[in-house]
Formats: sequence, C-alpha cells, structure tokens
Amino acid sequence: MTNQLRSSDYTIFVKVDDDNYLIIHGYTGSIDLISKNYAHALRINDLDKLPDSIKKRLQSRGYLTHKNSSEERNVVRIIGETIHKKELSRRYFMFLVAYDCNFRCPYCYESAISENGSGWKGEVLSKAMIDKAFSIISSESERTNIRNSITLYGGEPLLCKNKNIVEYIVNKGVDYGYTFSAITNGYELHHFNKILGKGKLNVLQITIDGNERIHNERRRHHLNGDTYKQILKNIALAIDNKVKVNVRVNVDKENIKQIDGFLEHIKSNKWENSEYFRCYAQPVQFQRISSEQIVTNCGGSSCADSEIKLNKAQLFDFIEKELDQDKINIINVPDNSIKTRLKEIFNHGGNLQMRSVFCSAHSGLMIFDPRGQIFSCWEFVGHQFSTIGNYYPNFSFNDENLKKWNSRTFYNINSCVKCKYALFCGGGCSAKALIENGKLENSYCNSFQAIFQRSVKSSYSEFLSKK
Amino acid sequence: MSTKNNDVELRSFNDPLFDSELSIEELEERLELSPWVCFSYCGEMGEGCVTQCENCVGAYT
Repeated sequence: MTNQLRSSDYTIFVKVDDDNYLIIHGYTGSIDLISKNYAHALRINDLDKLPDSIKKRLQSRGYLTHKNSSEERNVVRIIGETIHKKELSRRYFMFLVAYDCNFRCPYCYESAISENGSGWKGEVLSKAMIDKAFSIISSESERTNIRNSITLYGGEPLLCKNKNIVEYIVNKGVDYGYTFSAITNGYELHHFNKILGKGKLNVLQITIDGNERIHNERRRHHLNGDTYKQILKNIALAIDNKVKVNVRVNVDKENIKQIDGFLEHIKSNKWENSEYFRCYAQPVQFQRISSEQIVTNCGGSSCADSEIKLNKAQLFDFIEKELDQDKINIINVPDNSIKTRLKEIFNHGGNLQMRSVFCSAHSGLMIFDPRGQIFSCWEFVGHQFSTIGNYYPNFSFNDENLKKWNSRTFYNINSCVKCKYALFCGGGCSAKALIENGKLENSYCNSFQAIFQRSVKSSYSEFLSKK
Repeated sequence: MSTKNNDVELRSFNDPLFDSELSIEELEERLELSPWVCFSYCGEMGEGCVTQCENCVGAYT
C-alpha cells in the first residue's frame, strides 16, 4: 500500500451520550465505543489528534485505512458479490393458493390485478399444479440449499372454500419434510384446525390495522363487514395451538394514533409474554401499478397517499414519543434485525449480518401461482413484467426476467455501493423502489440510516441499563 | 477495560470480520470461508428473521 493513512469512508458514527460515540465499520463489521474527541478527529481525518496507540487500533479495525475511496468501494463490491453468490445457491418457496380474497383492503396489490379480469380471482392451485411444484422443489433440493419452510400466500391463502387444497399442500409438504407459514388475514383460520400446529402450519403473519373501529373501516370482509373480533379470536386460537403469530400493523398518518387500542388488547390478554406472539408496525402505501407496468410514480407530491404515508423514521418517532414504555416494548419496527443483533453483540461479541440484497426476491424465491407462473417478488405477483418463469404444465425460467431480478443487488446500484450502510441494508425493497423511485434498479433507502442510528442508540441504552 | 462511559477512549465490542488491509485475493479467500452472511427472507416481514439458517451467527428470534 502506498496511499497515506486516512479515515475510512465507511465508518458510521452514532452519538450515544454527551461524551461518546459508537463507531461501526461498514465492511469490516467492527463495533467500538470511542470518546467524542477521538471520534471528531476520526470524522474530519485529523489524525494528528490521535495517539499512536489509538491509531494503531483504529487501523486494525478498519476505521483508518491506506485504501483510497475507489479501493474501498471495490472491497465493498467484492463482499457484496461473494455474499450474493452464496445467496443464489439457496431456494425459498411460496404457494400462491389463489388470487381471490374475502377482504377488500384499499391498499392491496389486488386492485391492480383485478384489471386482468374477474376470471383470475376464481383460479385456485390444482392438485396437478401442486404435484408439479413439489417435483420442482424436490429437484431443486438436490442442487441447492433449501429453506425447510414453505409460505402460503394469496390473495387470501386460508379461505374456507379452498380448505381441501390447502390441506393437500400442507400434508404433501409435511411428507417431503417441510413445515409451513402463511401470510393471512386470519379471518377464516378456525376452519384450518387440522393443519395448525408444530410440524405443520406453524407460523402465521396476520394483519391488524389499529383499534377495532379503524381496522373494521379498512379491512372489511366483502360480505360480512367487520372482521376485527373474529381475527382476534383466531389469533388466540393460533397461540393456543402453539403456532407463532407475527401480527403486522399497517400504519399511515391516518391510523397511527389508533394502534393504541390494539396494543391494549395485547396487554389485557398477556400475549406479549407468549413465545408464540410478536407484533410489528409497518408503513403501508397504496399500490399504483397496472398489470403490465407502473402507471404512477408515487415519489411526487401529487400522489394522493403521499400526504398520509409515513416513513419508518416518522413511525419510530411516533412510537417513542406517543406510546408508554410498556407498549413500546410490545411493538417492533423492522430494522433488518439490527437492534436485536446489537444487543447480543454488546454482551457476547459477534457481528452484524451483511447482505447483498434486501430480500430473497433477488436470491432464489420461487412463488408458484394458480396460473402456472413463477414469480420472485410477492409485491408484484400476477404482473407479466415480473414473472420469472412457468412451472405448469411445463417448467422453464424466463432467463431475461430472472437475470433482471437476481442482479438487483446493492453493488449494482451506484449510490448504494458508496453508502456506508449498504452491507447492512442491501439496497432496500425493489418493489418500493419501482413504485416510488420509478425503477426496480433504483435504491430505496426508506430512512434506513435514521432507523439504523436509532436502533444502535436504543440497543446501547438497553445494554447500559442492564449492566 | 473501563465500563464507565466517561472514561472510555476506545472500547471494542467485537472482532472485525477480516483485516481491512487484506489484499483482494486474501479477502475473497476469507469471505468464501465465512458463515456470517445473512439470507434474510424479507426485510419487510418484521424484526425477526424467519429464515433461520443453519450456520447463522446472528440472532434470529
């Protein structure tokens, strides 16, 4: 190395109190507490202010480097490529049981799919399709590393009228050694008792949109109307059956203040103490794509829902400022597991996990739909532009689309590869990038930097309080 | 190693994944051996990872 020693471009600074910063290195993974004077010197590259012993340690941990900016970016790119090579050797599977749903939620992607005609909603996976899909899963398992759980998706995957076919999928999967999860509205869950529980359908994501009033306004049954009470009954049923329930609360500026009512219900039932219950909030937005392409770019202020949409930083703000501590402890905000992982690291060491992509839509997810098509992104199922192949009657990949989805890595996005958070973020959700920023290949930061900073502060504060 | 924040000059919580001054060839070799990559199923699915890789060094919950 002939370059002069300098501060790395990839040091993340997090002020944790008046005297100290946590510094986290974006590609060596080092995590250190450092006094504010040294942090300041490091930040402005004033290395004369650092004692030699500190300099030596900072260099050994990556915060000081002889690499220039271009060489550092190259290292980040190589790490990303190596991780991605490993990720592409994996497979994850979902069955889209039917596009039909018993709810009519205003933000659902199905409003775009309905342009394809009402026939789509009547289509359900057939036994022949399921058999074909399992034969593909079986053959993929011989050459790839496969996750041992399969997800059921829709539409609504757990409709009573489709019970026989859902039981067929689960029973067949269990014979192959798989367990199942489902992303469901939970309204008709009680009809699926026979397949609920350990070793079968054992993980559910169920959505609640706030208190009873706001939930019933948004998540209505197309015939029966209100759904809140029935869903809560079914959450209790699932927990009783030792099924893990992840409750997702979709929030925007119109319903955020109403989540308190649901959190009260959780507390009164002591669900927060159950190992089978978790709850998280997620900002929601209206889908604005046609069956073939984007018709509206929602990044602009002209979008109706841009006024009510929350970003994750705003969601964090609300939770911290408006909720009591006992409720803050109940509801999580997705942060790529940064907070959970850091709590471990502060006590026992280890590293934050690094990723080349935001999710498995870019690294091996295969979603089998009832029209014989395969998709990789569950936000865009049913859209011709996002199909990565067909499986029924004949199996083949659409190589062009598959390449497009698999190459949407952070290191193929110029703005991401320069970002010190890139390996912890993965480039953000591509579906949101397409909807909000116009292209799948664009980045979608979604306040990741702010979320990361908050998660670091929060986990460190908890670590100190428990010492 | 001090535990009081106002005494800290530099306190390390972990080991770096690799030496930052490794050559590109050494780095690639090191990465090939590492089990620390994350195959998170979907960042939109909530805080906890549902993938739970066999060799995970993370804290899937």
